[in-house]
Amino acid sequence: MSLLQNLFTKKRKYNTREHLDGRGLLIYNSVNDVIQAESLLKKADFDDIRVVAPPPQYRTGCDLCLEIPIIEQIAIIRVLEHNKLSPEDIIQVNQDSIRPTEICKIKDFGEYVMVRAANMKLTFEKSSQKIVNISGGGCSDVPYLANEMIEKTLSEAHSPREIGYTLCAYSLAIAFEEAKKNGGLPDAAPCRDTANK
Amino acid sequence: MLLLAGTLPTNDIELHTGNSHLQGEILTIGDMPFPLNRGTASMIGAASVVVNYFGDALPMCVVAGDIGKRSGSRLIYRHLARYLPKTDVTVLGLHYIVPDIGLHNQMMTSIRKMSSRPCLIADAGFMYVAKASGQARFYDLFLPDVGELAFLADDKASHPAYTRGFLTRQEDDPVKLIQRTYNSCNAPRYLCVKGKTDYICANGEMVEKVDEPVIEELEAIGGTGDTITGMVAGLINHGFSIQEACSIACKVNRKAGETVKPTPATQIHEIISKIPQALDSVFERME
Repeated sequence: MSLLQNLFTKKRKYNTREHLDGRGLLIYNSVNDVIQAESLLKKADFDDIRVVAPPPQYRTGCDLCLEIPIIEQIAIIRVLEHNKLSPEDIIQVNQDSIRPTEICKIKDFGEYVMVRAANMKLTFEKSSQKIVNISGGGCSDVPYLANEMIEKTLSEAHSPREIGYTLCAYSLAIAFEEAKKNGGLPDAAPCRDTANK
Repeated sequence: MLLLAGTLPTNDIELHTGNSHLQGEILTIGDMPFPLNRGTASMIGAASVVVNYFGDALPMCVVAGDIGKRSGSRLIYRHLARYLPKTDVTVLGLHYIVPDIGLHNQMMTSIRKMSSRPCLIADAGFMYVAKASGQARFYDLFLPDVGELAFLADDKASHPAYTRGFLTRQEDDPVKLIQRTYNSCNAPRYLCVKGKTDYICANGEMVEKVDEPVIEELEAIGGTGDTITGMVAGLINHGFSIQEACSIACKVNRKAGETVKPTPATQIHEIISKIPQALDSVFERME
């Protein structure tokens, strides 16, 4: 490797460290607030934000927080306050955060397709695109979400991002978006890694 | 006494206790009827069928309405923390709940005060919070599916949504995940891993596999894991060992599923209705 390349490599590593030092976490009491805040900020063109696990001292067992570039904190908080979504706390982080899994697995049953993300599974009928079953999960909104979504088509059903409250709802939303993509519907965020099974 | 606890998907009730009874598709707890849907209702419904089959006392239930906003979950944790030391519960089945490590730990403190510790069975949200709190080893039985097994095997994940990708990709090798779960001290004495093949494990060893009949559609049907948990609780309450109860429940679930001839659109109440004849069939084969 040339001296010039070495210099570039060192510079890039230094920048990565600097990038991590410049991240902040917005802490909320509810997963639903985090999902709403993420959606709001993305609509407001804050692209460098992501949902992550809170640090251990803030964990309850079902929680999510929002990682932001600390340099944009004032503008971000202004948008959130304006929409009554102020965080409970803001902390600075200096290490990589754990992100929710976005891996989806797809199982083809012939007339039906089952999409799984983390512990959540959503099954729809290919011909009608009707959601016929939701299984897995363990948080209290899963049976509620099943009641709300089953018998509706993928286009009719509300996303668990809108009507759910927990991390199981977050995973179900990923499966729902993958199902929409699999069913050929628009506005479906693709999974990071999809495996056919 | 068999006690079953978990949330139900409604805003209409706060904390509610009573004995459960199943008639057709209606589950009655105390004097209130509930639809026999996936989740806690399926778990209680399946347990009710088993106690009825043997003529045992009806299960006592602690339920609360919660659609994910946590309020009903908190009522259950607090009720259990307050009243468990005053009860003679011998088998405790814990199911859907929003995980809350602090309240879970208060409940565990109360359980430690009981004169005789009950057999502790956790599935769904209660299994998540038991693992996230680092108290998995205090339990007797968890009933994960393979996705949840990857979560148990991940010492860094506080919820299945945070299971790291390299473990999710190992789901085709559940035995490896089982070993990792026990090695990381995130397993209770017994594990019943529900899937295409059901794995029953005791003290770090896989002791039985149940893989027939294979009914792929059951994986898609919400509530098919909940029924195993309910049946296991009812069978242990009747006097079967944990290992025997897991083995019987896994076989009965498959048999009941086979009888229904399910599609991925089948709903769980259809399978629960077939549990009595599936119990007959499994016990006949055991004789």
